[in-house]
Amino acid sequence: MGPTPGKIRILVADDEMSIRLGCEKILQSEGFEVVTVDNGLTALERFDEKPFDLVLLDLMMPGMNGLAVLAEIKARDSDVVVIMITGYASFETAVKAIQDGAYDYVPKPFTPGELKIVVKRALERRHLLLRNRRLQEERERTLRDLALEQSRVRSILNAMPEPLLVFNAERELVLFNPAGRVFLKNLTDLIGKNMSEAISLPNLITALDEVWPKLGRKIEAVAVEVEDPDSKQTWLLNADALSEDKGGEFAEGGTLRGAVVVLSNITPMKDLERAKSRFVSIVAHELKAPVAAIEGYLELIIGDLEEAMEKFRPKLERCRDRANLLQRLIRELLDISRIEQGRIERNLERLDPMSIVTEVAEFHQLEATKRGISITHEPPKQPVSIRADRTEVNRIFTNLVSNAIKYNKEKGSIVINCGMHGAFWRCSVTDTGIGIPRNHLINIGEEFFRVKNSQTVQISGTGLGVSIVKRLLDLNHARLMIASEEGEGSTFTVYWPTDACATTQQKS
Amino acid sequence: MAHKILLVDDDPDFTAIHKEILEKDGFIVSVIHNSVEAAEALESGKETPDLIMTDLMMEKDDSGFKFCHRVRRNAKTAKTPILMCTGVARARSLGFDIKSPEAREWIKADDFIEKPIRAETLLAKVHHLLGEPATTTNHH
Repeated sequence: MGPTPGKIRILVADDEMSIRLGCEKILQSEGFEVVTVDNGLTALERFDEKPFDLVLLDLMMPGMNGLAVLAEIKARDSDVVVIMITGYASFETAVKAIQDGAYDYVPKPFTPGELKIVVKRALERRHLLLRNRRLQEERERTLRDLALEQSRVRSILNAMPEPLLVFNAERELVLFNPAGRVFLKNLTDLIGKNMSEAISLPNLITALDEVWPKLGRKIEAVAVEVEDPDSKQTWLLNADALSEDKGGEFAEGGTLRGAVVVLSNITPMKDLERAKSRFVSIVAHELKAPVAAIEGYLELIIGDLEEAMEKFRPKLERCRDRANLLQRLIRELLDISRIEQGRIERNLERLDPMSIVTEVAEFHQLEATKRGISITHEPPKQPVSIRADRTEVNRIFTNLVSNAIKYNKEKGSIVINCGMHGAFWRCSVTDTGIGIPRNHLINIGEEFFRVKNSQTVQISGTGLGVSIVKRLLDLNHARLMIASEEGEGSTFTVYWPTDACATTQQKS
Repeated sequence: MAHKILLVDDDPDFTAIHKEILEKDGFIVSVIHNSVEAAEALESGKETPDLIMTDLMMEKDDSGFKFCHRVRRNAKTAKTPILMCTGVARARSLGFDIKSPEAREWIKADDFIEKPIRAETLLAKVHHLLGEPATTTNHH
């Protein structure tokens, strides 16, 4: 039974006609809608027809007595306010009625003023009750909506095809979706378990260990690839920091509350990448022999040119040079596809990279001298030890130094400078060449990218040299930084992690 | 007396190019385009070269290696120097690290050369294997 809109309705139940008429007159004059009945049963019938805000109930009526009627009415609407009319000021019965849920009592006989006061207070009570009821209903509705909202979010997470794992700051699993189960152990109480106990794929634990320290420091999400050696699937792990505030935006220096980890299956992309690498490798191999043959024949022809044919020499030499460049391009394509396919045989050993850099510098001395370029190799102050493949280190610096010669000015200079940069071994190759236009700096290292202008058109290159350097550095967790001033020269700096690096990483 | 060189390679262009380079330098060159035939010619004594130059990949990826084995098992050619034509990376991708001492022992090739072959490099290697000082060649 809800509150009655509009006029306030009052039911008067009394077997005395004078009381009924008196109440009706007084209350109607107050603007209330009044219904009077002379017994309990009719009172209940009227109540069932249409609810009342207030009931004035005689305790002693023929048939059903006041207390019985009170119980019935309260059962129908607990918020209805009931005032007992007590015939002979029976205090005990009045107390009993109030214990049973009546709000007040008014002893007979009563004056109009007394009735008005009692009714006024009772209606205030009614008003309060209704307001409470409304508030309670609102709260219940909000809670229901919230529960619905949560179940909606839950359904969305459950429908996600990507595995989702949420961890708290203590690296304990707090939430996962059904897709996330593929990475979890078959346990019943996964929630609250540390990630190392909950996760079944060791590579994922390693990746999370690697990603975790970065979460607190970087605003953007951290992504790494995770391979599942059993299912041969490759996943891209995206980890987002959860921060203090509810907005979820993680501010630098904020307190890490946990992390949301979403994994996307990138196996199809990897397969495509592999297919591409394989295709490139096959094509390059097929091109290799014919181009080598062309170059070989041209070499023979040029070496044996008769007097009458001398006019063709420049063209033939140009053909040979182009065939030679093509040859180099094919070789470098093969190198790249080999690195991409992980098909390079690596002999990792502890070595001093300085000695290799010195070798490379000496090897290029002749080529540089031909163009009047000096190579200065500043001797290192202390010995360095890195774990690397000798051939790879040689290849990296060969490419950098030969570029420094190729893109240098006549009579320019090259400075090779090595040293330590924190836990990294640093080696920079600085030339006094044409430099790289600022807007192209970002493209350096992309396959086949070469700055095209009047200066570079004279320089033969494949556009793969720095790309190979970058890939080889990637294999070694090393980095390349390029600084350049157009017309002044460029500096290519390699940062190579040393043994000291590994220990500090473990500590953090 | 001029040295005799046997070229074993299934690619007729390379044999033609290498033959011309070597002949210009005064060598007597014969060519066989199949590794098995070449091995047989050496065993029968039909070919008696002072140096053998062979490709690695011919009928099969490892034909060159198999050929080297046969050459070494053959008493007539056990000591004949072999120049094998392959790239280090290529051989590695086939599972052979030709730079390692074990591989050198097993392959029994005395030296390696990678295509495309430059005339100077080829002649230098050949002269070295024959134990001669590299001659200043008589072609232009």
